[in-house]
Amino acid sequence: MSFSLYIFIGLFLLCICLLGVLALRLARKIRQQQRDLGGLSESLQRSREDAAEQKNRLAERSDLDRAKDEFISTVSHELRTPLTSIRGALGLLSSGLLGNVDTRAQNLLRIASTNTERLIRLINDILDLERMESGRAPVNVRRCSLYDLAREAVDSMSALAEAAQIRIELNSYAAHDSIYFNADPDRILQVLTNLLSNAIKFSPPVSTVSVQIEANAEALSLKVVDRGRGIPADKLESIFDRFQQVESSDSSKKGGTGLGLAICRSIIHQHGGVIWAQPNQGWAQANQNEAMTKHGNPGTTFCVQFSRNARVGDSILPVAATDVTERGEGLILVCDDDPGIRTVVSEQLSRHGYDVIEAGSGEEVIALAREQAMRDAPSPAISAILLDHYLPGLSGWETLRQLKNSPTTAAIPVIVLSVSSPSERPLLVGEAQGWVQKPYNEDLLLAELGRVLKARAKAVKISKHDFRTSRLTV
Amino acid sequence: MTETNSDEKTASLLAAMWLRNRPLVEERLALLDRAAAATADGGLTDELREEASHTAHKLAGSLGMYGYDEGTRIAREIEVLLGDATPDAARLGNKAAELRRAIFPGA
Amino acid sequence: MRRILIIDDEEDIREVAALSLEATAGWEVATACNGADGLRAAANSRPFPDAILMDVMMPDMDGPTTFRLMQQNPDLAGIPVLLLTAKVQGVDQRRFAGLGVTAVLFKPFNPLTLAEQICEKLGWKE
Repeated sequence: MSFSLYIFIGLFLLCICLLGVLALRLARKIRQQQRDLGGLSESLQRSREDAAEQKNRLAERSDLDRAKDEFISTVSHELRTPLTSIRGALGLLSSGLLGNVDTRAQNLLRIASTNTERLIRLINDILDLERMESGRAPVNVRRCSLYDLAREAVDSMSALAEAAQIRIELNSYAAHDSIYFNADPDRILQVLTNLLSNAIKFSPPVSTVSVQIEANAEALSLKVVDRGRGIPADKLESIFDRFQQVESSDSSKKGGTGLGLAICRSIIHQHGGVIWAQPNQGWAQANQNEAMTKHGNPGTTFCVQFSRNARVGDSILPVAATDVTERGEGLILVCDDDPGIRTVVSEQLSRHGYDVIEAGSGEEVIALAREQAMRDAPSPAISAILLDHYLPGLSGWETLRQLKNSPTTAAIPVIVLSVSSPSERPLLVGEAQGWVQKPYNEDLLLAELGRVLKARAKAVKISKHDFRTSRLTV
Repeated sequence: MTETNSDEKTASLLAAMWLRNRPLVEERLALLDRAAAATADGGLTDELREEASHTAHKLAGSLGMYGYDEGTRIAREIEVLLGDATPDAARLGNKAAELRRAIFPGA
Repeated sequence: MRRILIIDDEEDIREVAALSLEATAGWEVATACNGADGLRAAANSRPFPDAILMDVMMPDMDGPTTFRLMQQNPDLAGIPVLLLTAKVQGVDQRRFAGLGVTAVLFKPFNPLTLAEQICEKLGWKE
């Protein structure tokens, strides 16, 4: 009896053990699944939260914009008010009306007051820039004379110039009526005054700052030339950024805020224009090697150029020469008798997406242009011609004339590349669609090419619909 | 810009340059003093004499530029004195002192 | 506007001369501190200097030697050279006359009239 009982009990225990193990396994599995489920719901929860956050952020952004605008107006009031009081108090103290001030105290007062003025100027500049870039600064466009504005700027700077022993000369190389353009005169005056003030600040005594105005059918430009220490090549672009000064230790003595040029750029861009700086190539600078030390300062030229086709206020930051990001399209014929220049220009154009063919003489240009025009549609027609003005054999002038006189080639836009400025060559100017002065700024060349091609595309579109005109408007 | 204005500016720039070059002038004067002292002691080497002569020549060529015409004159006399293989010690000493007084009066 | 190369081993002479020509006449000035450098500087510059102002007494290669070497370079032979020298050496004046330099200027020069003197000696109007 007992033996089978033991076996039965044993088996029973075994079953219980097995069941136990199974139960444990099951339990573990269940726990695992629960964990997974938990994880799943966690991630579901997370993504729900993310979506909500995203929605909030979008809402926040427009709130942020509003807040920013409000902030700017608030700052405008809140920062300036205490400064006005400080300035007033310092003025009273240093005037001696409240009792004598000894020389040491007087000196300290002077320091406090100079820095207060700087702070005020800085705040004004920051707010100015912010308002302009956010589009909130109203622009009052009127018909202006660049010469008159330049004259006004020069006159306002005359006292400063005299104190620094600097002579300012103003010359216009433009026909009288070509200096008129559409702009906000106060803003332009602000730019001119700023450029002149910089030129005076950084010029050595007994030197001349020269202001030159030039104009042609396509553009109106103004240059401020100084004979100062110059700007290092790697800083020529960045000086137009905010809070950039060429030599901070030097400029802080001269009281700059570091925003002047950023504001100038903003204003000029709003007017559809371009502003840049280039070093003057002095003789000693051009020839400098270890053997030769240069003396004196060739200086810097600040250039401002307004394209006549741009409309003021069209976009806050229109395509300026410094941000040509659009890829180009089309076949460009480049003509220059200097193979080096041809190579460089071709390289620049190809990098930008254009196809390029080269010509080394006027005759070649005419031949190529005619050939392209006579081919059937599938082969690409020349989109534009870059023509060097100074050519051997058939001159640039003659080449241009022949191109325009022949109906097959007259429609091709021509941009003249010349060391002369357009005002020196008025005859050529009338026939050409664009002008780039050598040595040229690559971005300016690309911008000019882009502009000319756009204008042509527009004109072609218009003329296609207008059956009454017998000529293609170029 | 009138001519006098430009001259004034040049003159003031020259003055700034003079201040900057003062240490060099001091050095040169000190060398002349050393040569004079060595001559008085009887220990003037040919090397020192030649060096002093060149220095006097340089001073003669530059002092007038800064407006010290007297300095140029005296420096020339010193150069001539040093041309002699055995210069007159007393005269050399006097001239060196005179030169210093002409450039730095009251020093 | 003229371009002048000044060759002199003394720094303050170089500086004062350069300052003088720039401030009173607005000329463009470059300098070199010895004959060899001066030769190289002159030969490599484009365009070539309108005139060269050169010291007589320089270590290594003196003024007259540098001048003779310049004459051997067809590019430089036509450039007028003014030698800068101290007035005293009367004997040496004859040496310079034989060289064929355009003119001789004396040290110390008056910085306010240096440009004028150069114009006079070279027959320049300004």
